[in-house]
Amino acid sequence: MSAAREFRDLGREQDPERHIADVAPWVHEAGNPYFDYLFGDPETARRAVTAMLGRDASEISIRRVTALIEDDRAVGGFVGLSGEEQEGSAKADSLIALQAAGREGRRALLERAKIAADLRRPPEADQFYLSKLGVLEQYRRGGRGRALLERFLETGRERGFSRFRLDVRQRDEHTVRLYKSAGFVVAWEAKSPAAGELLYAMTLVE
Amino acid sequence: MSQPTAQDVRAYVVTTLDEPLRAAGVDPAAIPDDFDLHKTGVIDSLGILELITGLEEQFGVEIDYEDLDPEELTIVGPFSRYVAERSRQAA
Repeated sequence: MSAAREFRDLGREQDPERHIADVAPWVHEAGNPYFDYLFGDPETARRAVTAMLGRDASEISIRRVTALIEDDRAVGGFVGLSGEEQEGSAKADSLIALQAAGREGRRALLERAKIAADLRRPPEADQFYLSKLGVLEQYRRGGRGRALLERFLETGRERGFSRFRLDVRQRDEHTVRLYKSAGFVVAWEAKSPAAGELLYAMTLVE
Repeated sequence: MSQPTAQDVRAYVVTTLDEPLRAAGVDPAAIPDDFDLHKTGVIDSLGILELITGLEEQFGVEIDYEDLDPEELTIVGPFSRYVAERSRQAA
């Protein structure tokens, strides 16, 4: 990578919220088709993702993001956390989901959440989980995804993890190849309720 | 339906979750005020959504939860009091 790029843990920044506008699009995309399915439409999902980024206890709080900074912009990044931390974020994210769905939308949200819950297995407590990884569209194809994945693995190792887990859409072939090249293998697959897409859960044990 | 009191909300929570509470080895009739339904594994994130949706339908209350500390969402005493308080204000 060129000298103009650097990784930053946004949790250590003075004002991480200033990056939310750049981070929201790739976090939203990395979380699809789940987000758009759960919230019923992309606009409601976008509002929920933005709210979650702004909440410290959320799984995808901006303070959990390791960002790739170029020209002072977070052009990509990842959220890596333990299975335990992911479980601990359930309260905050459930509240945000309820608020984003609105009172009229809560019953529908619940029905979709039930279907989605049958398909998504949470990471285990001793797994370091790649919750989200993404790069803004105009910054792709420059090796940034690979650099972010390597940084994710390093972060997990520094924290003492030797087991890693992620979820990916089967049709994102480029991304699936990237994860396989780093040693991840498909642990199981599930059919997403959104357009019948296939999802892979991948794991890596070192 | 009239506005629920904190006791009504607590009774609803305990009755609805009778089975998972017993499965977790807890006597539903004797759960302490500071019992956390999520940390103890009685409910997961889907269970939180089910509880809130069911509660609102049971009592006909509409709450936006804007000012609730997420930590208190699954702690029986504070949650029951919050719902009762907001229901009273909304009425």
